[in-house]
Formats: sequence, C-alpha cells, structure tokens
Amino acid sequence: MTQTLELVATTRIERTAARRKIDLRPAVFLAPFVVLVALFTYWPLIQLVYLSLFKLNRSGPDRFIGADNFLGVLDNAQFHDAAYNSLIYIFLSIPFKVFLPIPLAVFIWTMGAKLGNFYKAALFLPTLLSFVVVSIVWIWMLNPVMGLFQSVIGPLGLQMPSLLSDVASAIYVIIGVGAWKLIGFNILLYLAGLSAISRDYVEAMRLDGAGDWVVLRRLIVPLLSPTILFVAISTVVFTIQQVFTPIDVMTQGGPLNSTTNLFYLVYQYMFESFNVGYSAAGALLIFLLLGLIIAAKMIWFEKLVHYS
Amino acid sequence: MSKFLLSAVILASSILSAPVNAADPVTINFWHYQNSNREVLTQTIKEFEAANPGVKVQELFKDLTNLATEIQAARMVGRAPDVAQVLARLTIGMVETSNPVPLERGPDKGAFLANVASNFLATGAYKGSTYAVPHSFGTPVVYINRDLFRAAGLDPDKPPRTWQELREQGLQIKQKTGKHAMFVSNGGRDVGPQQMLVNAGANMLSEDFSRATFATPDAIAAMQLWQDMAVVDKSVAVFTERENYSLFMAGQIGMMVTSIASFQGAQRSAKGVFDMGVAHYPTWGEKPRRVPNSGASLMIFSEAPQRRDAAFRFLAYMMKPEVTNRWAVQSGYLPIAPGAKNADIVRAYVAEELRWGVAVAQMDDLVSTARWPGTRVVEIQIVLENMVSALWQGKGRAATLVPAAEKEITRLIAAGAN
Repeated sequence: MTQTLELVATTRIERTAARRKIDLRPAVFLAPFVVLVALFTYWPLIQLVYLSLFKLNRSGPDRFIGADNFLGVLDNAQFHDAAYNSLIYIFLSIPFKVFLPIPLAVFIWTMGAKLGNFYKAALFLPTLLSFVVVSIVWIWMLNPVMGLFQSVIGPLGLQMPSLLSDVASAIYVIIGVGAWKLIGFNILLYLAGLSAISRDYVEAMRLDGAGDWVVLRRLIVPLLSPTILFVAISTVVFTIQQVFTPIDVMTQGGPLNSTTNLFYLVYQYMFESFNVGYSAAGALLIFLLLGLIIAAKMIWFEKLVHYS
Repeated sequence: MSKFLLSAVILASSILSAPVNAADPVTINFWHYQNSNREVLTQTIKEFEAANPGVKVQELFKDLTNLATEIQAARMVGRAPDVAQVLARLTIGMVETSNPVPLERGPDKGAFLANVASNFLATGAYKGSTYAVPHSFGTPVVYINRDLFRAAGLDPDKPPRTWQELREQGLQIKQKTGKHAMFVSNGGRDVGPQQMLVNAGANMLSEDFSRATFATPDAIAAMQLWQDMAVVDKSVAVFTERENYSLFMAGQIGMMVTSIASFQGAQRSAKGVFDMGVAHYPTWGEKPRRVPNSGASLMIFSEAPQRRDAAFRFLAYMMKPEVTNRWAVQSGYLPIAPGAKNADIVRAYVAEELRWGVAVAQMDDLVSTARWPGTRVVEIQIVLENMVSALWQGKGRAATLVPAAEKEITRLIAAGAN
C-alpha cells in the first residue's frame, strides 16, 4: 500500500514537473514587457556603450577610438566638480529624504484618521507641484533684495545673504528644495510600510514597559527596514536626476561649478555641445557610479533588513 | 495575406516614387528661435512666398538652447532643415560637424552677400568661405534706470562714457541710494566677458582659431576693474542672471549691461516702474569702442539641388536691405545692410525711438564674436563664465585668473580638435 502511494506521488510530481516545463503562459504574459524593456532600456544601453567607444562621422563609417571619450571626460575639471557634487547630492539627501520621513510617518501613523489624513495631504502637496514652479518660487523667496525672507528679516536690520550665487551655499539650497519637495512622497511610502505592522505588537511592548524610543528602535525600524532599503535605493538612483530641474532653473550649474552634477554635465555635453561621445561616456560613468553605490548599499543594508 | 501585404507595399512605393510635378512648389524647412518676433518673421515669409510662387517655406520654432544640437542630429540622419538660425558663435562648430553650404555656391555666386555690411559678414566667414549671414544680431548697450541716477544726484542724460566713469558713477549710486549700481548679463555664459575683453583691445582667438589670446594687459586691467567694482566698491549685483534681470526690471539696480536685443522686452517691463534710458557700451579709456556681436545668423543645409536653390532664393530675399531694415525696426535687432543708418525707415525709427538709435550708432563698432572651434564649446564657455564668477566673488586677482582661463581654453580647443 505504502509502495503504491509512493508510486502515485512520484508520478504526480513528474507530471507536474513536465507540465511546468512546457507551461509557456508566464513567458507569454511577460513577453510584451520584456520586449519593451529590451527595446527601450537594454538596446539603448548597448548603443550607449557603442557611442562611448566610437567617434561619429557624418560622411563615413564611425571611428573606433577606444577609451578616448572616457579619458577626455575624466581629464576635465568640470567633470571632477560634477562628480564630487553628485556624491554630495546623494549623501546629503539621505538624512532628509530617507531618515527624516521615518519619524514624521510614525507620528502620522499614531494619529487618528482625520488628523493623519490632513498631515498626509499637507506634506504630500509639494510632491504634486512642478519642479520648475517650485524652483522659481524658491528663487523669489530667497531673493536677497526683495524676497519673502528679506521682507521678514529686513525690518530687523538684517540682510539676507545671496544664497544662490554664493559658492558655499548654492548646492545646499538645491538639496533643501529637492528634499522639501520630495519628503512627502517618502512619508507615504513609509506609511504604506507601517500599515503592515500590527499595532498589537506595539501594545504588547507597551505592556512590557517599553517607551517610545524603544518601540521605534526595537520594533518599528526593524519591521520597516525593507521599506527603508527601498527608499534608500530610490533616493540614490533618483536624487541626481531630480535635482536636474532646480539646477537648470536656479543656477545652471554655477557659481563656479558648485551646483552642477554628472547628470547636468551629460546633458550639456549632449544638448549644448552635441558631443555625443563624451555624453555617452559620461552617462556610462553615472551608470557605473550608481551601480556601485547601490551594490554597496545592498551588501551593507541587506544584513540589517528584516523581511518578516 | 501575403497578397494583401504585397499590394500594400506596391501601393506605398508607387505613392512614394510618384514623379513631382514640375509646377509643384518646392517646400523648404526653416528652423528658428524667434518667439516674440514670430509674427513679423511670418509676415516676411508670406511676402517671400508671394514673390516666389515656386517656393513654400515651412517655418518651425525651436528652443534656442537645443537648436544647434537638433540641427546637428538632424543632419546626421539626413533630415537637416534647409535653412536655420544658428548662434553666430557656433558657426565654426556647425561647419565642422554639419556641412552647411558655402554661400558663394548659390545661383548668384554669393552676389547677395553684398547686401550685408562687411564687419557683420565676417562673423560667418571661415577658411575662405562664407557659411552664415547675420540675421538677428545684437550689440551690447547699457540700460539705465534714470530714476536711480537722479536719486544718486547724477544726470541721466550724461551716462558713463568710459568704464572708468561707470565705476565712479556706480559707486555714487551705491553710496547715495544703497542699491546696486550695475549688473553685466553673461549673455549665455561667455558673451558678457567677451565683450569686455575685446572692448579693451584683446582678441579672443588667434587667427587660425587654435588658441585663446585674450590675456592682454588691458584686458586683465578691465577684468580687474570689474572685480574692484564688485569686491571693493560692492556696487555690482552679484546674483544669478535670472535674479539680476528681475531686480533691474523692478527698479532695484542702476544699470544693466546687455544686448539691444532685450530692448523691446525691457521697454515693456520698465513701463510704469521706472524711467529707462539706453547708453552706449562704455569704452575702455580712450580706446575706440569694439564690441563683439551677440545673436544669430542664417545657414543653409539643403542637399537636394532643387531645395538648395530654393533656400538660396529665400536667403537672398531675407538679405535684401528693405527686408533687413524693416526686420530691424520691427524686431529691435541691429540693421545689417551697408549704410543702413541712412535708410529712410531706420532714420525714421531712430528719430522716434532714440534709445534704439544708440545701438544703430554702434553698428560700425561691431566685430565678430568669438567662434569657438571643436567639440568642447560648452566647457570653454563655462571656463569664461567661471573666470568672471571667481572675479566677482574675489577668489583671485585678474592677473592670475585671466591667464589661467586663457590657458585652459587653449587646452580645450586642442582637445576638442581631435
């Protein structure tokens, strides 16, 4: 009897395995997306590698120039400034965009529905505004002669510094504007993560005498860690893209290259100089830089993430 | 199914290969960045089409920032416009990358070029050929807030004649009114500094376009004067370009140094805010005024002979003195025809609008803007922009910063030539 049952079970497993082998449905469903990703992501990536290694020629075949485009990009003070600024944008954005939204989201989570929804809406509102509009509004608020802040501090005999034209401060203005605009979006992501945490756990910890800090550190942060990892990675990937608009509208990369970044430099190579080779090389370097940072984060943070 | 496909292919190919009727007009594409003057331009095009029934002009507005890049990309895939506006300072780059047609190869062998003043025409010349004709040219002038001049105890009818006088008057404005005296528009990163350097007697580039040559003693002294105004006198508004323009238009800055191309817009913005005047670009001491142009030229990129002929007809029409003079009067750009100052329409408008007449009087002082060669143009422009920013912010003396910028630009020219 036992042998018969084992035989039946084995046969079923083999049939299931065989059926799995020939089941093309997942592949069919995935095919449109695979084709789109291949067409609009991987094919351009291959083209990018090609363009970075060749010099385009309008009247003949393109000329292979090896690493010349990369060497040209790297041997440029503007690139060095842009690379340094890119790291500043990324790493200074993390406290504002990754860490600061956590307590804000927890506060909202602990509130009642009505008050919580009000704060959610209020904090999310800047995310809905156009970055161009936001940049122009901030230019006017910070204007050292007739801006909003000057009109507040002027009667006190104080003078608003020219933050956007000062090398020492311009980049921090752009980081601040970017964080102000996007903090609400990350709060929503954290609230989505928090909604998966049962409040019973909090109650249980309270009964054991745990205070707010202990609940946050021992319960909420560990259970929220997958969301934190996601927010951290998306912040790294998107920050140098998101600041493109404020850079272009507010400073055009100046003063003295203090606000430019790799993304803006690649744009200038391509759309202001039509230097296709340099822009392709620069874009690949960005790809590698972001890849390295994300890989490091994954290796480092993955150990700290609790998926259950 | 296959029969259907075959029929469709045959039908499509028959449509595509249908012979063009000789009586059909040739349509040429014209890319430009004229937004506020588009109506005037469109009217000129209509008049051309009425006079040339065999040619239709499809005009297309493009954003100035990316216009040159779009032309180069379009050229690479064989879809370049027949005629396009290109910033004069990008002329050589376009010749090197996009194969424009030398204008002496037209049906009239370039005879229409005689309708352009020689100092203007020089901006389109390269290696013995002319590739571009001026169209929307500006010259730098000083816009003056006459109310602030009066408030500072200055006579607005006696604006600064030289840069040295401008510094003195600027200091007086700063001391008497507490407001900034001046800002210099960078004019797209490098135009503002170029104008100051060339006006002080320097040439931006060597004759063979292989190196920068602007670090002359006078040019360094001119840059030092700018720095002293900013750092010592604190009379220069060292804000972003956008902030500076808005502040001037709000009556918060005494003088704005920028192109006459801004005249119509500035006039509209200043109305009801302050009494605006226009003065000549100051000379460097007693040296004669020498100001590089700003603005755009027209170039031809057509490959097909029929379209190329049509493009030449269009360009020849656009260069007729009566057309260029009227365009100048209606748009505010500089007239470009030889002796345009004496044309009735120009004289009449100068009599009516004396402020625009200041720019017309500077026509003979115009020299070609620096036309950077190679593929590192933006980086070169940024080097000049950064040089001026460093001066304004007191990061170093002109004697150090100007030669360093010259050296770096020479290096970029060499690197961009490979």
